[in-house]
Amino acid sequence: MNFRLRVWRQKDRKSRGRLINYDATDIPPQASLLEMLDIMNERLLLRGEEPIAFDSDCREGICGTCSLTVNGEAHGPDHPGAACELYMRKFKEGETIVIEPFRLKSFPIVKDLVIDRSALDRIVQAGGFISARTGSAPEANSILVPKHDADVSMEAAACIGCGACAAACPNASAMLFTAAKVSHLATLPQGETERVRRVVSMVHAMDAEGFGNCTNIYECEAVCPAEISASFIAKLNREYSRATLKRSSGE
Amino acid sequence: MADYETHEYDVLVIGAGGAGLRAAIEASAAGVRVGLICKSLLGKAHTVMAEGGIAAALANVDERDNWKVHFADTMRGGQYVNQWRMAELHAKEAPDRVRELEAWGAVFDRTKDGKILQRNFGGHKYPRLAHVGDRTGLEMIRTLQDHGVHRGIDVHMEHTVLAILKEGDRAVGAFGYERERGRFKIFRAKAIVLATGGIGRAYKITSNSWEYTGDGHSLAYDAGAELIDMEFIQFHPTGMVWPPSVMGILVTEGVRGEGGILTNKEGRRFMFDEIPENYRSQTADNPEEGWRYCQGDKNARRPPELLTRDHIARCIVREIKEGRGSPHGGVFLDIAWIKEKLPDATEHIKRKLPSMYHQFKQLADIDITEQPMEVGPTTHYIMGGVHVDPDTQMSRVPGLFAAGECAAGINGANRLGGNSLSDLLVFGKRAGEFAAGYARDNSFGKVDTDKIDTVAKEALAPFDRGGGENPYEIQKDLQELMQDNVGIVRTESEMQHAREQLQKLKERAGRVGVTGHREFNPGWHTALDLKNLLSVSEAITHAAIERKESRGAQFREDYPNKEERFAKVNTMISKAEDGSMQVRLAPLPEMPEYLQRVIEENR
Ligand SMILES: Cc1cc2nc3c(=O)[nH]c(=O)nc-3n(C[C@H](O)[C@H](O)[C@H](O)COP(=O)(O)OP(=O)(O)OC[C@H]3O[C@@H](n4cnc5c(N)ncnc54)[C@H](O)[C@@H]3O)c2cc1C
Repeated sequence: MNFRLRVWRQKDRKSRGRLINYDATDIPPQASLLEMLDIMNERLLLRGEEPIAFDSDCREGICGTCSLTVNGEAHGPDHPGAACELYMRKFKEGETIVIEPFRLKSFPIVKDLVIDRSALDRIVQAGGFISARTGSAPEANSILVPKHDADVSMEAAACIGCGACAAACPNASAMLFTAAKVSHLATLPQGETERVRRVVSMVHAMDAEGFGNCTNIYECEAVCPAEISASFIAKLNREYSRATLKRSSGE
Repeated sequence: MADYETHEYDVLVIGAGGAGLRAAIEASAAGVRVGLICKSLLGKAHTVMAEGGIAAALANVDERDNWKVHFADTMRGGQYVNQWRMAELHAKEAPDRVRELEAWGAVFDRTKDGKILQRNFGGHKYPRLAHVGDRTGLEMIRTLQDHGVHRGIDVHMEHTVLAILKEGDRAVGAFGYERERGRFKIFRAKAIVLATGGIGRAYKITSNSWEYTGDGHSLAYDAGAELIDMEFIQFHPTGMVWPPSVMGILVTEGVRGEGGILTNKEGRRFMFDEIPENYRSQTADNPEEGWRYCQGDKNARRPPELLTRDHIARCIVREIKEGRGSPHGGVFLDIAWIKEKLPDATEHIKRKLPSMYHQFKQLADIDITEQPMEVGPTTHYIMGGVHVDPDTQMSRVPGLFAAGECAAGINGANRLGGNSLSDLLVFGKRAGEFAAGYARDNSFGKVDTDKIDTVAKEALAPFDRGGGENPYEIQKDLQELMQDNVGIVRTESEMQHAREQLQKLKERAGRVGVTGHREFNPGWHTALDLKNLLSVSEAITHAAIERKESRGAQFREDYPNKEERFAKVNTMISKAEDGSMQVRLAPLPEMPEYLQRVIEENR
């Protein structure tokens, strides 16, 4: 198949980038979008041009490394799925495909299609953990988790941390990400001890990173490759109110 | 020496998969300063891809399970060339490590009464794998990462280590570059833990991602450590074979654990045709009993689809070679058939195997609740790696530790599914603990500046050779060479051919050229990985030639049987003074009597 590509090229964090046109000819329809970029890179290298930098790892939608905006949509038009699960057969012969990085202030562009998502790590660092001590394992079956709670927690824990939710949101809000992290731990008995502190610090970290607020547009849910439900955002809001109430009542 | 950015840590961990993170957590808990380096982003290491589960004898589902049975299963799977002490520690400590993960917030599938649920897996006598649907690795890495980052571990993401630095015999640091700017950096450390994972990218068809270029194996080898068991490479029997772009991607054993069956184009369930002698008493001899086993009937024996991976891979190769394969050169794996048995089969499959359902729908446009999948063997895991002390995980280079897939010994000639994730936790912890101890007892060493200059010069040389050999071409040729000549079925002549060709590839790699700048240049990174890929390929080939028998994952057409003289030895690879690769056979440590008895009791 043949395509017209418009790819975002940017030398480094400081330079200004722009869309560059490439002809992608003779691309096998069963290639994935990332493989198409691999093919392009080999050709660029043969021509003595610098290959297009992009991030990928597992290439099966598990790891959340890829972070492309394809034709204006985070992870491209084929939802649910990460950009690595996007196949060229889904495009029309001769189609123009615009490939850009996820775009938002909190994810600065490092080079071409590579972005810096450490803002998400910092949100987790603020509270997305359980600080039980290291080295002494608990007694057998001292933590019993009802199956239903485990299932709910698991739906939230499915988040692969790609950041598409924030990229797709017109407000650049990372609420779905944070909600998934908070809900996952808030549903488990192990997470109880730090429940109040966790949600407050994570929400503060999220604000400090410059992410916007949620105004119920649901774009995040639509692009989420792990199909995380926006109802977790409601849970986040409940957790946050509960925590601030508890704090103000001095508990 | 140029002025390079330098960092100092008590313990430096190279690799942020399950093993590296667990080591870093442990070292940091011991109160020393820890640095963690990884090639890609934090949390995206290979461990994330693990699907099936973590093996640990928790005995939540079958109370007959305990460490002894797990130990005996691991030794049987490894055909008794495992380092017994590692297998023992692993079986004994895995349950604690899983419970600890749970305490740190890991979600697991649950039994009705709220305990961690365990599932069946090939080679494990009882349901033993703690799991989270089919994304156990994601959950494990997330938990470790989240727990790790709040401890104040310094993380250097997208940094690649190119060499271990030494003072005399001792490892005292590492030298590498960061991808973004292409700048070199020095990491000085009192102790170093290698946790770089595997080597899958040495083969054409693999379930492994681009990161798996055998860096830790090669770094340790260059630093003077020995590599053990390098001939043993696990080919997972069920990788996707169609379409070509997804070739090699794993179809989890979980599919067979839930009742999936393997058939050839005649519709025959060929796994019943050949059941190895030492597994006969534990294997069902009819489909009905196999199904009952998958349904949790404790009196039923497991279906032959749950035999060890090496055996299944070879049965599949046989079916394909003899013309009974599927249209795209694999065989069929069918889970849709369970409709005959379960009224809500469609929902059941989607619930039990969500990522597999999704993967086939997305990648191959196949609905696995309706149609069979096409599968074939794919390079999956290397049992061989850095030879370490079983208790401390230190290599023969003082100060240099290794854990996880890049270390070796626990698995012997073959690894049971689920035993890797538990290995990462058990030995990651141990490596972290003993590295911290070593760091406390030793001070910083002096890094070798000549070495740094040489490595930096070599690394930059490809830029001066614009128009030289294309790194991608060399990589491709190497992968094909290994796939065709040192693959699932091996012979002396093909491997000798591979050995000669590897020398030619090395010469070509010496002429490799790249264009552009040092900033985030994938062509350059591929060129730098070549050295590691070539070293591990050579080590695999040498070791496989040396072991003139078939055992576990190594199948030699010219020596199709197990040989007594190889029953109690391991192959050891090391670098000689003159830089050439040496291989020797080392006798296995003598197993104490109480463990021999455990094995006898579980025959
Ligand atoms: C598809 C798939 C499914 C699997 N399923 C299971 C399962 O269900 N159960 C099970 O027990 N096992 C499973 N395995 C095996 C298991 O996942 C791996 O063996 C294990 O995760 C390896 O972990 P590790 O910590 O050793 O390395 P990894 O998780 O691979 O981490 C390696 C780390 O080292 C870094 N690194 C590498 N080279 C360098 C360098 N030069 N400089 C700096 N950093 C470097 C990488 O960036 C990465 O952070 C599976 C494997 C695959 C491929």
